[in-house]
Amino acid sequence: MAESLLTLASLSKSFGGLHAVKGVELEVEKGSIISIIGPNGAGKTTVFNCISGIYEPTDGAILWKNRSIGGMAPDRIAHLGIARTYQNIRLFSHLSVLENVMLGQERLLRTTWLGAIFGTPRSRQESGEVLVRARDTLEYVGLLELEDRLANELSYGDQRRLEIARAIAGKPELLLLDEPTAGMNDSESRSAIGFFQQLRDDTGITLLLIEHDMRVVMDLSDRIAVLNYGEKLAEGLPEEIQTNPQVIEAYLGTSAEI
Amino acid sequence: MDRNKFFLKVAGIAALALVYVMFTGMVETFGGRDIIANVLNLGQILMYLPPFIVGYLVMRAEAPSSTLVRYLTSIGAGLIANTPAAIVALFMERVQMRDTFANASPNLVEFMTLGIQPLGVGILVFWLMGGLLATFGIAFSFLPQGARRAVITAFASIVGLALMSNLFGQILRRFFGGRPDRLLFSADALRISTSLIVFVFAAVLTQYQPLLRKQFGRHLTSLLPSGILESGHVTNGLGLIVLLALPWVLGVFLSEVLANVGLFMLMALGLNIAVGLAGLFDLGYVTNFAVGAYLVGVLTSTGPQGIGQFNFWLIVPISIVAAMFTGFMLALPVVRMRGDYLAIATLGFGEIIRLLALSDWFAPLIGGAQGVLFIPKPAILGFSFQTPQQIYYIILAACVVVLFVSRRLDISRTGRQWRAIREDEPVANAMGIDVTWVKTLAFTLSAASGGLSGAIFASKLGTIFPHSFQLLISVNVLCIIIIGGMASIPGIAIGSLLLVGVPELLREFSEYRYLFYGLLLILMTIYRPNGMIPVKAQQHSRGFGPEEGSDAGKTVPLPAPATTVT
Repeated sequence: MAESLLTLASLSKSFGGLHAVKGVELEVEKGSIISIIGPNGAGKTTVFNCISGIYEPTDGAILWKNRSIGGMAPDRIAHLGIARTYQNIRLFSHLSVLENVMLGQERLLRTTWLGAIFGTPRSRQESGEVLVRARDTLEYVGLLELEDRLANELSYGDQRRLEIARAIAGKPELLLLDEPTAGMNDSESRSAIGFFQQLRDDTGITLLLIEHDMRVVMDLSDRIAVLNYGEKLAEGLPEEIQTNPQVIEAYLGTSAEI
Repeated sequence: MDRNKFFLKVAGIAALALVYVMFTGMVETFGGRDIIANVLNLGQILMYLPPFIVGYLVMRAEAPSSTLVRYLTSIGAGLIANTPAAIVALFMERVQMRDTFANASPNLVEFMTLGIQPLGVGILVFWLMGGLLATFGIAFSFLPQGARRAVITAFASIVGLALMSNLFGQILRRFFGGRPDRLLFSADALRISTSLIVFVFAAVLTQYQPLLRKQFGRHLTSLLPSGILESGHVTNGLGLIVLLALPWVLGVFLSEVLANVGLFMLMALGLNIAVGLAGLFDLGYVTNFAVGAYLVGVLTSTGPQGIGQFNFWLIVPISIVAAMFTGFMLALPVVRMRGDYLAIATLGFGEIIRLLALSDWFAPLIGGAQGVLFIPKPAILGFSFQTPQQIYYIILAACVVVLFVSRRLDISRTGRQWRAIREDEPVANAMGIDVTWVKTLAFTLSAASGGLSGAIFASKLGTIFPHSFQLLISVNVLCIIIIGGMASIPGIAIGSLLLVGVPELLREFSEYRYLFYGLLLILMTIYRPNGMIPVKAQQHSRGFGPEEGSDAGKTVPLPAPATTVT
């Protein structure tokens, strides 16, 4: 069994009386691609927000390499090597494409404002590296020609790609993708599947994604976890999930029988 | 229907504007300033412009109706524009209105009616003038666009030249001795001959500007070695030479004005770090200014409040550090606030510092309302910076340093972090940016140049009082940034000249200074919301890249040929 990168141990989050996430267990192995699926309002994005530090879990633990990170500030979690994208794209829309990707590299940077003012050799060297890495990443996702454009001038698909570029520019170990193929047509999703597989093979990155497109989920995932009303309904290989009666019931309603 | 609405709207706005400028005394005050000697004054321009513009706008508005109807509506709109002012003037004799309109004086009526008696006829003439001016507006709308632009530019040049007559007069006197300015100006106004020359010159120049630029540009670039203009060293060098020579060209009075402009520019450059680069609205900038000023005041003064009588140059770094410390301490509680809340909290700090300076509590130390007196001018190695010209150089040097530092920050990782929190704070946080620290840093660094300018201010003036540290200083500095353009260095320079320099030269209208500010702010937010010289987002991206000499790029393997092109 491969090394466990991230573990959710009976993770719970409630907002007042609303239990958005209840006792979710999840094991994410290094180098795997795991999908979280579930109907709208099942608590998928809340799980992401807990992992990336935006919410503090009400109960339970989030372990990163066997270290508890629940309730840690988002910037510290980013520094550990967990990057994410957003369901509704959130780029720095008035900054250039290049600068967006440069901002994804924060966790790799060490120079400070003092180094910047005095123009120390280290600071200059680091600036050079940031630029080179940003261009490499842009080339990897195929946006290099657009580096000088503003982020909000890009097409929807390119904005999705830029958001992924920004997330992987800091060489994270775990990438949280919140509905990466939302709004894409068939051929676009197909190429997205190819892209994510390629990305995993090239960098050994671990992917945890929320996805609605069942083709993407079935083709891409090593394992699938199903959430419903904040609770984990099932977990398993794609084939197992496909034929799980509980899952089908959650998606299609009670009357649906196999 | 739409057309009727437009015509009524334009005429109504013009009518309101006219009543306003007349009965707040603007027309009268501005009437004291001749633009073209004995022909045209500023008050007349103010009074005659609204119906003229109304006529032009209504005529130009797209209309389905026949030409005759359009003429008549335009003229009618001009008449409507003048009606309320005429009615007020008519009843002014009968009804005592000076309680509400303190400026509704007989002088104003005389100005309106051109002195024609009896009153009824005079006011009728004024009213009909609205129609006449609208007719001129109609005529103006028939000119081709190029000609219209030429006329507007020429007219604006005349007004600008006349308003700045003092400036040009002093420069001319300095260069040629005697009174060469009398050839051009007569008592601060342009002579008729001069204005004709200016009009023709400006009009012709506007017409042929594109052509001239092309011709001249070609000659210029063929003379210079290729690529030299792109590097920026030549333009920067030339700019610096001009700045160094300015006090010598301008003389004492104008150098004093320039020193004030520079002082505000120094503050604006500092505040720009918080407001422009990091997007934090700080309305308490005067706090840092006061800290710097009082430290220099108390520690260098030879008067009763003085402690130690240290040398100015020794205290400057201390005031900068103290201001940074104040900025840091004030940032701690407010840094989690956003937008309006932040502005209001910092506004409070600005007032607190003024009240502290004024308080009896601190009076034994910093003089309370009496202030700190006998602050010596900066001196180093026996040389003392006495005149405004000499102090100008200190301010210029300070500006260059702050400019350099903020530019370096802007293109670095720190600047990028600031732009990120300005754009989207939660996402910036999720990218790994410690938002609280980065904002505190912006406040702290921004405070440094406030402290520096306060230090120079205290030494330049020689005395400081609590009332020198009003909210208006913060507002002024913020306005410079907003009007010039957020994060835009040329914008800040222009903003300082416009908001500090111009009012110093037009002291006679100082009453209306903040009216002018308000109007400018409104017009800017409507027509140029990004300021006079906005920054392009793209220009930040690179920072010190491998282009800037270091071989940093080579330390990382370059997988594809495209990435080696930098």
